[in-house]
Amino acid sequence: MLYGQVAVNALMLGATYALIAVGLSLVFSIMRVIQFAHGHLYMLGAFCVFYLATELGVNYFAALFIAAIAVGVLGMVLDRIFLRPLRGQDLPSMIVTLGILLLIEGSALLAFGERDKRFRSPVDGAVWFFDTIVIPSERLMILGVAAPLIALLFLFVWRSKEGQAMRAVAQDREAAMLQGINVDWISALGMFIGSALAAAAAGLLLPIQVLTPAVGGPVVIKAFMVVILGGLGSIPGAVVGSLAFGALESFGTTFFGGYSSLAAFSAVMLILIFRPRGLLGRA
Amino acid sequence: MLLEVKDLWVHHGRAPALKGVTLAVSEGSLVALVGPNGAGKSTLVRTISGLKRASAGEILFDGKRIDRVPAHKIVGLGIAHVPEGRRVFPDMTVFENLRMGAYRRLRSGKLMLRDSAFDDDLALTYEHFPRLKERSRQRAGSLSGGEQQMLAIGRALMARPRLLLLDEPSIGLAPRMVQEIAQVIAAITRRWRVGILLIEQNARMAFRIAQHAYVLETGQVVITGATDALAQNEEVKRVYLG
Repeated sequence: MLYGQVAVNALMLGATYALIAVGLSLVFSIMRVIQFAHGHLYMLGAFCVFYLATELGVNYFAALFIAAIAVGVLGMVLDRIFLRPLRGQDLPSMIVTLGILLLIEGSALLAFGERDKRFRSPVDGAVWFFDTIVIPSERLMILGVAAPLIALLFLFVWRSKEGQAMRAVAQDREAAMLQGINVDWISALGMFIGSALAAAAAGLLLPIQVLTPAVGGPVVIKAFMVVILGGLGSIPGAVVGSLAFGALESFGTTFFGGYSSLAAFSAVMLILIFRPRGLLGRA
Repeated sequence: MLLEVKDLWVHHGRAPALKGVTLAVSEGSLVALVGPNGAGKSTLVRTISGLKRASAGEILFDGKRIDRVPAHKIVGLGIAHVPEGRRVFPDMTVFENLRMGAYRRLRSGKLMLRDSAFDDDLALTYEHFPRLKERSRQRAGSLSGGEQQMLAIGRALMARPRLLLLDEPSIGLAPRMVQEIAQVIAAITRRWRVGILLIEQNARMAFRIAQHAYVLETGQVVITGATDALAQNEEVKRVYLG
């Protein structure tokens, strides 16, 4: 059944986009900054998993975990050095994230070279459903890790003290300070979570993608697109936007072949013409 | 003395907004700060709560200097600030807003955010504002102006303050709602023994409930005294009580 496979593919793509987009949206909502280097942190996460697993022989899932923590910490460090001194100055902060992007891309080219790298999937074979749908195991694995991670994030944002603080800072930074919230700490935490999730997504997609230092650019553009589609700064919006975009792309690939991105982006623009604040955004 | 402000200077860029303001609030008293737009009233409370830095002078709370303390630590000392324009969290429910007021006392990483002390404070806050209890699950952004003001005050009470800074609580409200807010403010001083610094353009309302008042004009205190004495002052009557 073609449609079944397309649907599972859509779900898998959507879940990984969600991991990436949720981080971008989280950072934007807390700091009012579009973190242009987000895709490059994703790229670093992919290289981290790649070298840990191939050179050091670390178990794939352990490598995924280590990469997420490492890139998360890097995100915090970048926030401390580059963004914190500019807190509250949105435009300069955004230009600074563009600088960070160039810095990471240049360093990655020097360190990793420009040649394509391929990663052997940690799982192989395929799984049959109802004797009609066949799904490659690695795609199921991606979905199986990404979906619980998103669920955990939701639990964190809506049920924990720090998550509530993030929502408060996003809605009114000054009022949040008056409640005793340390905005610098909450921003750092947001950068950690956003960056770690991007790295996790990168590690998950590694088995089905070719890796070069250039993968970050298209990722941040897609994630930004998805975030706008869902509603800028809304976390449920980022997830819904990701699922929608994953579906558009997945169906697009099947029915339009090489024009799938064109089809997906056109559809997004069409949606935004009729709903400029995005699917779940508030006016 | 609960709060003492001594010869405070604050600048917006190069322009001085406060030029040597001295003022005091004692425990359990209600002090009004009135004056025209742009006199520096908001600047004063924003400096007390750490949102703005003083360029000279001192702010003492319980006799200790607090003018270098960062904003997020001020509420922990016992000072809650209800900012101008209410500034409730619009996409949170009424209950979630009140919970943010108790933020410092919530436990980190805990999924269940409430304990019995929290529930007691909540019950007490709802006692002053029964309407907030009825609307506890409603989005704060969907409340009326008066209800949002009640929520902003309730949120501040959840921090268990000893000093409450109220910035223009009556602005933009219907006359009946102004009455209601004034009554609640008076009730809070009696019930919680908290000191209140009340900023008001509506001097008539402020004078009715406050014991002491300061009149601020272009960054300086021009008149101060007990409200019943000030209410007899010809100048004050003409300009502020019309």
